[in-house]
Amino acid sequence: MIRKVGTITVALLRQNRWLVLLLIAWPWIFLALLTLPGRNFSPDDIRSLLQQEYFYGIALTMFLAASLLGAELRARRVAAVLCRAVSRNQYLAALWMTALVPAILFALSVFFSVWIAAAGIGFSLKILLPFILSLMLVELWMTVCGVLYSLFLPALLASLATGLTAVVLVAAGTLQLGSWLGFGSLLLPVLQENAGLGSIAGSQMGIAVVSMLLQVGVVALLSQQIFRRKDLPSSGD
Amino acid sequence: MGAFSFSRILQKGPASVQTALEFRDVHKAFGQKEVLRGVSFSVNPGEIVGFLGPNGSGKTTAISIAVGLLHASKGQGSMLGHAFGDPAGRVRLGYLPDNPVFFSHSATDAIRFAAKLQGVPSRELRERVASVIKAVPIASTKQQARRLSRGQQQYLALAQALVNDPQLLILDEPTSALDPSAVMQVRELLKAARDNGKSIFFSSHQLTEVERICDRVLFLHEGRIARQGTLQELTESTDTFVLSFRGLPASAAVWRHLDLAPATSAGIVTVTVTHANVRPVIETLWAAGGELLELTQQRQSLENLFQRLASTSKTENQS
Repeated sequence: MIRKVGTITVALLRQNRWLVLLLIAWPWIFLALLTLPGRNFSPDDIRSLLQQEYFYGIALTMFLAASLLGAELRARRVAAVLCRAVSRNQYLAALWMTALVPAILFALSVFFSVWIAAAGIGFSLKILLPFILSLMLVELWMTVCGVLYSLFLPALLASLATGLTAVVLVAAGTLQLGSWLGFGSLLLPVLQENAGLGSIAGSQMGIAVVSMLLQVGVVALLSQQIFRRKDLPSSGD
Repeated sequence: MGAFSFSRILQKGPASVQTALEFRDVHKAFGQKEVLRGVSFSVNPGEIVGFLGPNGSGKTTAISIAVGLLHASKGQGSMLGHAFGDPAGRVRLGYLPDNPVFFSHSATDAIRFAAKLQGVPSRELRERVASVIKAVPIASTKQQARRLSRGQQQYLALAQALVNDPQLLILDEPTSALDPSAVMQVRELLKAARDNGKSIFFSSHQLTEVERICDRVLFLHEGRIARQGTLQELTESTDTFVLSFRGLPASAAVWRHLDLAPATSAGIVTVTVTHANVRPVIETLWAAGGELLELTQQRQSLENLFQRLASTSKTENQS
């Protein structure tokens, strides 16, 4: 099971290698621009950098997850995989992994680039770890949600639908209607410029993590059921 | 380029009584359009079955259902003892699609990729890939699969289909894009596979190829199996006979009287007549001084049958 998922994931990652490389390099490029000689570099710059990278990260993950299946269907490579001894669940798992691996590498890239940059300017690294965990969790959510929508929508609409779902959940959190959904607890501290990133690691973090993992599980199960029933035409007759 | 010797990578299949491939009243509709309408047939072990039909008849749809890419709207089927869609049934399947596509892999990696997905154990992987590469005349195994010529891609896809030593081969237009000598070699491969107990189900538009190697033929037309049987059964006698005479020139008045159009070759005149006219024609020509040399019942070629089936339904549609 794992061997086949890994084999397909590697093939899909190779297929999308430029986007993957961009995701990994992005935080370092950003940091290089920020630390150009002659620029004043402060903890506020790092805060701003993190906020921006957070959203670039989830946006790129959302786009990658939402566009993967469509691209593979158009190129008919889905048929080249599923005509072999590969189950639909294994292929779906490979799609998730293909979106998630670069997302995690991006988060790690952010972590290490900021760690290096923050070393000499007094930026507290205590807030960095919960920030990165929050980023990874939201990326995981975006991945499964993006892949779910891509099962029945074209890439652009699937990305928009994923983004819209996230906005609705954040709004629900803002209005105190659905703080248990987790999204508000994770994203609001990042959205609020003056709230400070450190507040992510508040008491609600635990509930947020459990709630979002449950959502990921439900969306993943739903995706499995839909994908299992989906027709995948290989070509005309 | 090395010799093309697929037969050495095909091992003797286990003696098995199970049907290799079976369709049981399979229907498939895309929206309102019904593409398959109650297709039933089976492929037995050690048998080569040709799957014929005009474009749009539903051949690729049927094959896609068998390999699990599409779901039947109604009916069911099995492959190597497993229901359609069950990946366990595809472990010993070799499938060649009509238009192969590849990931961003070299030719060698593409074969290795297929082997891994077919569940070839890691310890056998290197050996299997190496033996298939030896057997397939791919110009450069290090070249990107997608940059190979169409013919080379066809070879590569065939190598992918064979890397797991399949028990059942499903080939969609296996000889398209191949040159005549390669077509001949693929024919030998299919025969070697059959001799090793493998089952082969393949669609083709090359009717002469089908005639040469198939044990059985299925004609799919507008989603239905229009005819099926052994080559012997399908090409069996028509209602027409060929008579060969000598001693009567093609210009003789008797031919016009019988309303026949004779053909002459090396002094021998041949005419084609229906069963009911055989006796009167022989008697008339005998009386006119002709000598009957040969009387043979005409057999129809697959091509004739194919055209007849296609035109029959065209007429039905028009009326």
